[in-house]
Amino acid sequence: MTRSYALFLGCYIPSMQPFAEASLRRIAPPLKMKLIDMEGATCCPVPEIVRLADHDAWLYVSARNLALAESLGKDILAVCNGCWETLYEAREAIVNDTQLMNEVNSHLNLLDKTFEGKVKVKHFLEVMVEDIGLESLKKAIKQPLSKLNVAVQYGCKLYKSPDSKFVSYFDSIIESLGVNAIDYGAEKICCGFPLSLYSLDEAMEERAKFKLDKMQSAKVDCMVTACPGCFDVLEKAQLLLKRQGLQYEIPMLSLTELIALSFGFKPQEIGVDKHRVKTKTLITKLGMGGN
Amino acid sequence: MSKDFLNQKVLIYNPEKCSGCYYCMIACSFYHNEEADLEKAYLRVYPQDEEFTGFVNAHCTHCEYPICEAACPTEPKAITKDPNSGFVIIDRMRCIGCKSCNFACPISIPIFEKPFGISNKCNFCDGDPRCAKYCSTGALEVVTRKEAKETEPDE
Amino acid sequence: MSDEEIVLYPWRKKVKTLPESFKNPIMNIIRMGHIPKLAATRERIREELGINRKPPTAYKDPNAQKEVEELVRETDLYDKAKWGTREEEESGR
Repeated sequence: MTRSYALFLGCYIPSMQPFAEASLRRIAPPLKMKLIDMEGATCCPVPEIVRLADHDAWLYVSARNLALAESLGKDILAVCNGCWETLYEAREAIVNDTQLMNEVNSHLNLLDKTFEGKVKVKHFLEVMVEDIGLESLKKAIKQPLSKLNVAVQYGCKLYKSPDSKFVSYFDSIIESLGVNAIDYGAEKICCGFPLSLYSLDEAMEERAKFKLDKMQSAKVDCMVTACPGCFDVLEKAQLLLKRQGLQYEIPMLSLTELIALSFGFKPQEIGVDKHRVKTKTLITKLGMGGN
Repeated sequence: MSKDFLNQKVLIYNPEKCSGCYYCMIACSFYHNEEADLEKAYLRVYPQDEEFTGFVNAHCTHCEYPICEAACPTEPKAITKDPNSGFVIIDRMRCIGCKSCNFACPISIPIFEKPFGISNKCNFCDGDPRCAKYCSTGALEVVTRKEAKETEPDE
Repeated sequence: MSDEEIVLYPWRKKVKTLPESFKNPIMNIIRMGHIPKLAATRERIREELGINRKPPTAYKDPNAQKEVEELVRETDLYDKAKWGTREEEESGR
């Protein structure tokens, strides 16, 4: 059975990490997923900044995104932890408060939009485990990556899911793919994005550098994350710390890329070779160098 | 312990969930001071050790008999416990900036705000603490004191 | 801070602007609906990977960008951020 979702890309995936989008679009057909683009979708908006600066602005803009999905009549597939948090929490707030729903709709109506809470918000991990199922995932694997040692970067928001279930979902997907998740001792630690709002230097030094050091001493082949925010910060950290003479070069993969690789897609097809942090060592290790 | 005291809303912190993102502190300082400054937050998260094996949190527990209130020398007192909500609040108009509360509190929750020349502390955001509301991992939660006591590990 | 306090202690008045680290992202969201700009190099990469050169979001939809601006204009955020609107800027104000 093919399942359709309203695809919510967010900001960082389409603009900074097109390889994550490309790999997601490649793995959708084998997993019997139909992704419907949400034309005109905007930033979710980012919870750490907009919600703090002005709760109303955060709520209205996210309600607009929810309304777009409702007009498509499909549940939202959020590929980003931050987008999931915003859309999920905004939806919960609106659906559980009739007065708030009326207020939000009075603003949306000016744009000829309306949100009545008919669609749900689902995280990519949730869709993979609860809707698609790990069995279907295993069946689609063409190239087991059992040689690969990965460091997992969950991203804070996964712990916020009901009973922190997304954390175990991430683990079970990694397990199903057959790659070795290395225990590097700092999985839970934040990448440093919220701290960078206070001081970028501190975020890089105290969080990102700490994590990268741990990953390096654990000798991982690459790190894998489901959060474009973490991806962006840790990528930026590797490039910035290089200027201080610290060579990390830990290849980074988004979870969709890892899945696409195990489905037999070539790294060049999904853009693994187009990362800002070099991935050559990883591609060599996978034995996928040739075209 | 009075019944009202047990029904009072308090914060609880779950170190198992905390990722040390410090967003609670940023949310706190933004709500109270409109700045993203860790130094201006009324709650604290510290790394447990250099290896970041865990984090420790210090936040106002809005005590039944607040020692900060007892230490406050002004008359009438600048620090009072609200009889209805149970929140221990500093009246900034009455505070003389003597720092007595800073030293009296065993976890140094009231902090001296230099630009204003007075001390300030957590006021529980008038019932809706931003730190717990916006916590990235859900490590900070608002519960009643009775529920909080049930989560205490057995001695 | 209460109104009474502001009258008595004007020097205690808080500064009502956004922290620097908040300004750029918020400005970008209001102007183009997204935080990062879509660089030409990334557009090229997108094309090479076989996905649309412009993502099917507000990046290619000026109408969506306007809608976000309209929504935010009705909130305090617009004043807090203290910048001119696109029209004002274009007219040179």
